[in-house]
Amino acid sequence: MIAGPTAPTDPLAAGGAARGPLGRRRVARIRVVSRPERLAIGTVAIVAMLVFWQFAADEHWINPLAASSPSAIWHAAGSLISTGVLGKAVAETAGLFGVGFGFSLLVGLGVGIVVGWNPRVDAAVDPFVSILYAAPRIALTPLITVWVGIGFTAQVVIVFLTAVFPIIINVAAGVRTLDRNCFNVARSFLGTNIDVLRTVALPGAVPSIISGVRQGLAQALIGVVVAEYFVGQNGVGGLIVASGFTLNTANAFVGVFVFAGASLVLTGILKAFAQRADRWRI
Amino acid sequence: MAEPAAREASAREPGIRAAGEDGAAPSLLRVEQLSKSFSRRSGRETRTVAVLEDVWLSLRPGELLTVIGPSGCGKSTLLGCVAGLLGYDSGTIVVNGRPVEGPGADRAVVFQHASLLPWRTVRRNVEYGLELERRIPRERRPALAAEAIALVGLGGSEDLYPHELSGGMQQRVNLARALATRPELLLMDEPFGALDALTREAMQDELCALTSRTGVATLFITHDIDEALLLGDRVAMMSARPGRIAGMIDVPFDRPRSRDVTEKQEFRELAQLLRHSLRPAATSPGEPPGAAGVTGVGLAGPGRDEDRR
Ligand SMILES: Nc1ncnc2c1ncn2[C@@H]1O[C@H](COP(=O)(O)OP(=O)(O)OP(=O)(O)O)[C@@H](O)[C@H]1O
Ligand SMILES: [Mg+2]
Repeated sequence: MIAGPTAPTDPLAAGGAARGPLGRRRVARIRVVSRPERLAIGTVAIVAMLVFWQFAADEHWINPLAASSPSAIWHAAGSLISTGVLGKAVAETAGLFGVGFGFSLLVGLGVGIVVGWNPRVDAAVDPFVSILYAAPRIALTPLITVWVGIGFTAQVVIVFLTAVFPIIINVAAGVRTLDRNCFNVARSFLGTNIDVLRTVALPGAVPSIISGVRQGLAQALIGVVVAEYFVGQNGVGGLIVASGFTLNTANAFVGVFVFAGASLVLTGILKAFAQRADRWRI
Repeated sequence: MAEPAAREASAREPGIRAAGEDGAAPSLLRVEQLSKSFSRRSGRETRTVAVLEDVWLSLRPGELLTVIGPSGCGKSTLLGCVAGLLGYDSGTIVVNGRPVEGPGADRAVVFQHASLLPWRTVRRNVEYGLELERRIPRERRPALAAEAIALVGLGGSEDLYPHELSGGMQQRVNLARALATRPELLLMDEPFGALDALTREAMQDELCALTSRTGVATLFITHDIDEALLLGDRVAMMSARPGRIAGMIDVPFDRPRSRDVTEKQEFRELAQLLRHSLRPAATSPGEPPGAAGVTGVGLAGPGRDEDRR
């Protein structure tokens, strides 16, 4: 390769314009953006948005009382943390999320496996699960407060109901799709039903289980917000509602960002976990 | 031919081998009058399709019997019945004096598709049969698996996952998984059908050597005429609709064989004969109904009734 500066370049290899009977045209190419480049573009976009937001608020293009501003939110966060208000709220919310999502996980995995494995149980349970999965379960909130009051239990029930059904549905679907060939291999080696479940059905269901947990996670966060908005008004959700009532939009934004951050962290953890469980697939 | 198998069997776990074979002919596998039909619902009525009808087969210890027939004639069904994976309507299947009522540790299947568990390494896939059968204590499994892996020439690949293997290597794992359980009867369903020609030839050569070495009796299904003749001590020809054994050929070459036999005049003539017999025109349409089930149909030469009843 001793191509000098004047060496003719191949127009196709260069990915540029090709001249042909149809004239000059840009032929489609696969566009690749490297990871650092993606990160840089994303950071610039975020910073630009924050700067514009701050500038618009300072110049009163937008009502700072309603729209707040990055600096106001920053200061609000500082005082919420130093007074311990945010810490208490986050602890309450984390407790609710932990208990509610924990129950959903336990019940969702258990019921999902049984439903996916046993066709009779499936036939009995499927109508309920399908209806409840399709229905906006948040609509049940008033009924739940009638049944279990407005305490922590009611909040847990709300979180549980929002999160459990996507988990059940996905886990059951994963267990149900049993690889026929592998099933026969297990049978030929005298495998029992439990053997098949343990060595074929469950490992094969891992991708569905993970996608169920991911959906359940997102739903559980929505459940937590709803439960804290309408029942008890505590935790980060309660903080947002109270701040809204008093027109303290900066505090409300702090709460929203806390939820957004928590969601990002939790999905990140799940993603790392999924990659570990899937390393045989690559 | 029977000696290595007998030695092999007595060296195995005690109690697996049934004592006396009935009669003078010691057959490891006897299939008699086997019939099987599938019923298919189409709309309101149920139609029954006879897939196997009056099938007779026998297999001596250490023997390799190839079964050849046109696609859809019921080869896999026959193998499934012998493996105990499929039920059958009538007839008897006896392995080592015991009637087949379901899958058993005396048989192992090498499936048409490798059907490996993708989340298990080669080693753990080969241990799978030992693990499910629960006859061998856990701590002895790795040794048996390693032996089977070495036997199929996969040493060094123990820690790879199936997606990291070529098709040929996957079939080797499939074979090793069956061999690891030390079956008395190996059931192979077109195991090399999906491989490229070169890999297939290599696998055939290895199977030739391997079965001679271990002395395991093998029922080998194929639709490749050369493969049937190269591997088999005998070749059973199946006809379609309903599937039955239309003829039996004794392959007159000693085992272990090398691939050179395929060049021999006698081999080519047998292949030619098989090819003619398997042509649909040569067997099915003109054939009078009620022709004897086992005797060679449309076969001039070596085809003959093999099953001693
Ligand atoms: N589960 C089933 N239900 C209904 N019919 C079936 C079933 N399994 C097989 N058959 C029918 O039985 C016949 C024989 O099938 P089988 O799989 O045994 O053929 P084969 O000889 O193995 O063919 P190939 O060489 O293509 O593998 C086919 O006509 C098929 O349609
Ligand atoms: Mg088949």
